[in-house]
Amino acid sequence: MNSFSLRLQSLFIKVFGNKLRAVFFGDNFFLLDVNSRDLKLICFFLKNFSFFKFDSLINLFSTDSMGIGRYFLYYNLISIKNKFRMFIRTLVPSSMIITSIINIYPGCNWLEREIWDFFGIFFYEHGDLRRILTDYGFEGFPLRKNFPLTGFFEVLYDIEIKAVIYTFLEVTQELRFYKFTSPWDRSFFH
Amino acid sequence: MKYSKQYKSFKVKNFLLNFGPQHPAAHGVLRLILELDGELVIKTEAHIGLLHRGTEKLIEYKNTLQALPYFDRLDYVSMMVQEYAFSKAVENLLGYSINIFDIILRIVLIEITRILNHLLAITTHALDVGAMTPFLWAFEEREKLMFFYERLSGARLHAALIRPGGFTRSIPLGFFEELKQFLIQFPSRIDEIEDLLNKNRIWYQRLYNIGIVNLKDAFSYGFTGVLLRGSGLAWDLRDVESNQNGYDLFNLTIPIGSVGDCYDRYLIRLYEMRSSCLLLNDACSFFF
Repeated sequence: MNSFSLRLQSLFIKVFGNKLRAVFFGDNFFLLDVNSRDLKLICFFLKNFSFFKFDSLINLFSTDSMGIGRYFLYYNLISIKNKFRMFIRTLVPSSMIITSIINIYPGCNWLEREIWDFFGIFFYEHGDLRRILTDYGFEGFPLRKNFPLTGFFEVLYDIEIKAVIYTFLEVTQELRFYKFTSPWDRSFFH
Repeated sequence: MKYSKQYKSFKVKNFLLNFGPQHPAAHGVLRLILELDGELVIKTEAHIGLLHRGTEKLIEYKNTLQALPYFDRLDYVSMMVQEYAFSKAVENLLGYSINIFDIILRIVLIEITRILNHLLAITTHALDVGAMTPFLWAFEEREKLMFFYERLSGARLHAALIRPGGFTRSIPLGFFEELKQFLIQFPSRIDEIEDLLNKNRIWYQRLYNIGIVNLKDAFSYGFTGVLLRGSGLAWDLRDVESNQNGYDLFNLTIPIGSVGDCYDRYLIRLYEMRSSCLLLNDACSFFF
């Protein structure tokens, strides 16, 4: 276990003791669970406090776990000074609105747009929150678990109108699942 | 003399130009909306197009091993690295560690991929700037490297070789001898590319002091890899996380740039190919 991660943990509990939900850490892994309303403050602290110096936001991603606390956001930060990588996890409130940290890490501009595009999590104070990867005029949030794999519309070229049109999707074959029982599985023989 | 009343005030307006939707590598198709002030582009708004391939959505319907081949389709100039990343992630989640032989073999494959990747990066860059020859030469070398992929996995590009827990197949007989043969002749191919480009006036003028990124910007925009090293910081995941990925067995030199421009990044890529060669040579010596 890294000595830096231990110091990080103890300092965090001292400074943000009442604001942390949980701290997970192990070999080469450090995850901080925070409330979404404290996210901006903690990111600011992590970036600017000279002991931490987490200057770089490498990645931002979301998960959908289909429960009551459904969406989690994960911020992947790197401290170049300390050669350390950490994650911040935050539960997205049911209003689906969360504060943008674009003023602290300008690199999260497109990442937040991507999350908005795919999960429908709204980033307050972002300023330019448009869809980024889906089509113009796309509806719905495709990486939510209740969005079907095949989607709702298909795009095709209509010979009569001589234009590209959007129609409702027609699938001739149903989606197949290859869930064969493994021959090494014990339940296979009984 | 009443000049002052004759002056008319008029507005200078920048105009918007729609660039695309077209080429850059024809995936999802890039569209840029450029704001021009005369000939200068002062602002660019990028519509990056339909680049997302729905990999996460597809994987929702698959199990872990079935998900593997999607990853070398994500970045098809560094296939093995993507597989490696996925396999490593799964192994970390399971708390599984592979043996030293496999770790080194993975390093060999990743370094081969790095050479493939840098060859493509440098020479297609040269193609865009106006030099055709390095591209053709490098693709011959790339073909030789893909031959190693083919020996190992049966596929030139989408190998699906590195899987969580090890490999899909074992290495064929004589693989490392052939790799050594390749490594003997490859540095002189880099020399040839360097002869064409390094002091070339067009290449120099179009790269030197172009696209300077200072270190502060590089941090805040989350740069990694060659871009960050070009801005002058010795940050290499091979070095930083060497206790996890097995690179602590090898000598590693990290080149860094001094200006942070395109020319620095070009030189760093060249240097990294050379150091990959040395590293591959070292790695071969583990096997015979």
